[in-house]
Amino acid sequence: MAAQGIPEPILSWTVQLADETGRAEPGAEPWRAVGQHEVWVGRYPVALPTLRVQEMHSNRCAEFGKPGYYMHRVPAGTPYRISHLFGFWHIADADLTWLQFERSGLTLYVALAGGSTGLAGDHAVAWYCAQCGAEISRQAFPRAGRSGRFLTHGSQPALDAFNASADQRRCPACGWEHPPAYPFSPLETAEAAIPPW
Amino acid sequence: MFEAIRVSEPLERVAEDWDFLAERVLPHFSTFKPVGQNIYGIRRRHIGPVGVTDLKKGAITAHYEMGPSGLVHWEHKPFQLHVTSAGTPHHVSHNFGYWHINDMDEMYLPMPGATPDELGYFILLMGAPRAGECDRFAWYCEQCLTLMHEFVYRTGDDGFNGFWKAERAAVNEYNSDSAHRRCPECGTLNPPGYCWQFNKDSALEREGRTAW
Repeated sequence: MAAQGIPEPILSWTVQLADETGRAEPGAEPWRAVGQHEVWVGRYPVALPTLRVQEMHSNRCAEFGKPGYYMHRVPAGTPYRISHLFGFWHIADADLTWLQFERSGLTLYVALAGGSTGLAGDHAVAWYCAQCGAEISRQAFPRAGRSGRFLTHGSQPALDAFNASADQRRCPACGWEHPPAYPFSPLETAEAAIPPW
Repeated sequence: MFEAIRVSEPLERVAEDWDFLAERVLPHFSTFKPVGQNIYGIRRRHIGPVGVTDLKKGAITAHYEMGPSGLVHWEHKPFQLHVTSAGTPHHVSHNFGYWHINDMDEMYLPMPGATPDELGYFILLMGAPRAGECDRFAWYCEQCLTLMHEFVYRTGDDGFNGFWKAERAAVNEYNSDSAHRRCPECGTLNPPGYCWQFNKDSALEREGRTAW
C-alpha cells in the first residue's frame, strides 16, 4: 500500500462578507461547514424586502427584526423560518445565530448554525396555518446531518410531499389552504426576484 | 403572510434580550456570556481599514495561530469573519498574554459601525464546551516555538464561570518562576504572561502586555 501523506489540519478559515470598505456584489455565499459551525452569508440590496427571523411560539408567530444592525439567537428546537429565504419552518437540534448589518445600499446577513459538539443532526420541517396557527404538517428527519445541507437539500422530500396536493396544505382546524412551499432560495443576482413570503 | 397570528405583545416578552446588539443588552456580553450552545462576547471598538483598535488596549489587530508548519500571522479586517478551529493555539498581541487552546471553534467578526463616526462591533462566538472539553493556557518560546508551560481548565466539567479565575491562575503560575519563561531548548527568556483584563495588570504583566 502506498504511503499517504497526513493532511495539515485546518487552523482557521475565513468568509469575507464584503471588502474592507464594505463594498460587495449582491448575492449569497453557499453554506460552509468546517468544524463545529456552519456559516451562510447573504448580500441583499436594501431595496428588496428585508429578511426577517420568524419563530413559532404557542401557535403564534414572533417576527424578529428591526432596521440597522441586530443579532438574534434561535434556540435549538424552536420552529423558525427566514422570510423570503425559505418557505418552510425548520426545527433543528442546533442553535442558529442570525445577524443583520444594514449598510448603505446593501444589507449583509449572516447565519451561524451549531456550536456544541456531539449533536445528532436531528431536523424537522413543519408548516403552520397563517390564519389560526395550527400545525398543518410536520416531518421529522432524525440524524439527517448538518443544518446547511439539510436546509438546501435534505428538506426537499418534505417540500415535495407538502406541495403534492392542496389537501396536504389544508389546515385541519380551519380549512385555510397554505400556498405551496418553496426551498432555500438565496439571492443569486442583483436583478433576481426573491420569494414573496 | 403570518400577520393574522403575529404575537401582539412586545418581542421582549417573547424572548428577553432577543437582540444581542441592543444598547440595553450589549453590556451583558462585555466579557463572555454563555447562551444556549454558544458563548458570546461583543465589544465596541474602532474597526476600519487600518485594523481593530480597542479603546483601552490600543491596536489589537495582529492575531497569531500555530500549526505543524509553524507560526501563522494574520490580521483582523473589517467584514472578515474568521474562524479559529478547535485545537489551534492562538494569541492576539497586547490583548491576552498566552496562547489560548480551545477545544471549541472560535469565530471573530469585526463589523464597522453603520456610519464612519460610530464605533464598530467586534463579535466573538465560540461553542459551549461539554464534559471533557477544556481550555488551555499555553506559552511557547518566541524563538523556537517549544512548548514551555501549560495550564488546563476543564471548562466543560467545571463550568465557564470559572474561566477567568483559571486564566488568572494560569498567568500567576507562569509568571511565578522565571524558569517557566526560560526555553528548555534554546535558553531564550520569554516575556511575561498577562490576562485579558488589563486593569489588574501587575508591573510584570504590564511589561508582558507591551512586549507581545
